[in-house]
Amino acid sequence: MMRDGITRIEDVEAFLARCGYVGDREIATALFLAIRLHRPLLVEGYAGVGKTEIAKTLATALGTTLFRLQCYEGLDASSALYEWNYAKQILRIRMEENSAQSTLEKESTIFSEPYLLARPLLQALRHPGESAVMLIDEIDRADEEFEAFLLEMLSEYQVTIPELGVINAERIPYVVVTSNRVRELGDALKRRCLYLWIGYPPLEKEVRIIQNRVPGIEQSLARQICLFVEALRELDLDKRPGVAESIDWGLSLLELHSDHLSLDTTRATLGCLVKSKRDLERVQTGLPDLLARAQNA
Amino acid sequence: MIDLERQLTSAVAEGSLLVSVARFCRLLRSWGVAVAAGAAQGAMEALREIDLTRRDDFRLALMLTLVHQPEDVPMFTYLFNAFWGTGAARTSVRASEDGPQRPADLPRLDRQAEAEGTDAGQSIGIRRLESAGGIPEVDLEGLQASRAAVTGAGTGHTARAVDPREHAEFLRAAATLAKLLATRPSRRRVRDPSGRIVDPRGMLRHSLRYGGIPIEFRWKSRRVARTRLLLFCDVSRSMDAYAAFFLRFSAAVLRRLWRVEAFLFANDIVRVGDRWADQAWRELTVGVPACGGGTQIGKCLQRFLDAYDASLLGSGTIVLILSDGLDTGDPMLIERAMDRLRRRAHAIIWLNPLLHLEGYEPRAAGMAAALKYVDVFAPVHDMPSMWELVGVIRALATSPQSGFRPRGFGERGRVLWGLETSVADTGRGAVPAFRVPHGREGAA
Repeated sequence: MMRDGITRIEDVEAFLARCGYVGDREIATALFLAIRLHRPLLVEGYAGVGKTEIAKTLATALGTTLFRLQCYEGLDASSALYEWNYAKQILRIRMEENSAQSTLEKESTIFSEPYLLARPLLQALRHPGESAVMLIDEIDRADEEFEAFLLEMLSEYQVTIPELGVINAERIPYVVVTSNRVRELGDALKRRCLYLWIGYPPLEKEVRIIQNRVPGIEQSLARQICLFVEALRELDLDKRPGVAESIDWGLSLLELHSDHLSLDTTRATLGCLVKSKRDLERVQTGLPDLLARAQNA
Repeated sequence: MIDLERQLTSAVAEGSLLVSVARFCRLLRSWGVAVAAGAAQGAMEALREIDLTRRDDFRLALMLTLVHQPEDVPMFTYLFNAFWGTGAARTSVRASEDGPQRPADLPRLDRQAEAEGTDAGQSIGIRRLESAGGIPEVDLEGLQASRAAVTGAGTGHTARAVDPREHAEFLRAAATLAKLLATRPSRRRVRDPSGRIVDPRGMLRHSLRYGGIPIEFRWKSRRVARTRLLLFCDVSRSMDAYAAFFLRFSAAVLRRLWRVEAFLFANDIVRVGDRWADQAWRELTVGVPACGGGTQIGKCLQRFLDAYDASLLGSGTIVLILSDGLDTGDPMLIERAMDRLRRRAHAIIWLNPLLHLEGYEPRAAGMAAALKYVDVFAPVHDMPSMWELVGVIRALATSPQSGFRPRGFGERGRVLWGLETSVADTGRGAVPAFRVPHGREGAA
């Protein structure tokens, strides 16, 4: 679907539904505005609530390619944007050792397109055809210098490579930036972006998500799963389970052919939801109570 | 709905939906919602794309363009309903554009203040505006007086002579500590002939000089980034026995670092100016006045955050809190402030003198709430514990993990020592290395 095909928020809701993404009006509006205004979308929320999935869905819906950049501390331009292929350059130089070419000529050969390694951001900028979707995942893991660099790129959508010159975007990509809020982002970046906060979904929505992502699951089981997970989120855990964990758990239970939550299967599969020793101990002690709550509600 | 439409049509008739949006932005700001300059323009662009008669979409479009943090959403929703909503609510807010009142259904930021009957009628926005100009600043001449101001009382002296030999050793330890805290290895790399990381780009460039044969190596190393140190020193009555020690500690560290800011707190907080002369400090530490007043760590930290968040905090900031964690305020306030500090600062070190006492556990509600945001939790009350701290900080600062912690929610890199809940289960196995035996490392 092209951008022109999306003129109302309902169009976005329709393609979300088609792609199996259970969203609400807020998410649909955010995507709609991001597409229409061509502004970057900053998505914040807890781990595992489907932030990355938004970008994937957007790419599928627009029928375009997704370029993903996973951020980490120390990420710099050479891993985000471009790097020269040194090994290939050196080989080339050796091959031409005895040629009559001047240093300048040699240099212009090895600093040319075939020797450039395009990293995700450059790939997305140079993507031919329909605008690509550029996912910058977990930007809060990168440092502030990278944020500043990104800001520059997002305002111009062009990249300067000293040896090659300025590279302009063929089509401005759709940019989705996600953050877990480990670190507060700079105001300048926030100002450039539309801001979307995704919390844990309400019960009914989570049930629908699970039914969507775990084909063949009974509605009653999906409901029990969500109730149980909801109760877990209220506990004081170090790592609270997200929707991704609920889905994992649903898949595991289906694999074990359980059609309801029993104490034994829950205990055996708790590792899908709870990911640290301390949390595990805490949940184990209150497990019968938690289960009873999920079953009786 | 009808009201909204009427308002919109009339606004459009005036050719001034933008004016309304701009006024709404100003209202949001006056209530403490962080709305960026120029956000109204962005909001207008968004409004042009949507169906204005759908109230919900209208709200969402404004929210997506004007709000930048989840904490502001309840306030936004409240103000949206009031500003663009039905008659009654609107008049109340319209009136309050000049002098805001707090909506009844919003959580109070400052429950403690309310309990005391002070600031009771003030809105969050007003509070922020006021504190932006600040926390009062004192310098040494006013320090005694300000200790009285901070703690509410200030009589009596616990005179204690400082042994000059011990003082010299103390200064040495503090200097070592300050040096360790002054820098952190950055993840970025710079050219460095004595570095240990190969720099292929540089090598290739350089090799052109020899017709493309890479003869000489080029090296890089991790850049050294400077840090900023923030000292928070508890001067409440419960800290009396240790106050002298801590004030000396602060003075010693202050002398060694450029980028350092110090704050004193008890039931309020003051910023200490940078003219702390050594001589005057020695006088001060000889006779520390006994201070009264309950400690309100949460409130004080929140006041600090309101005033200095953007200017003093960042990924290069190390926060050092000297306090026993005995708090009379609401633990929720501490929790909120610490959470914010944790996300904005590079590391948080909490020095608690009670930690050396037999059987002490950080059970006090405030301390317990703060603990999960702390990177290093350690006792400092005498010279051996001071050297032990130096050892721990050195191990952390020089560890390959780069400073205190890899960013993330994980527990890795945290040192809670003197406690059962040490980092034994991090799986890194590096914890024993942090346990430096009591000794006089570096002491001549």
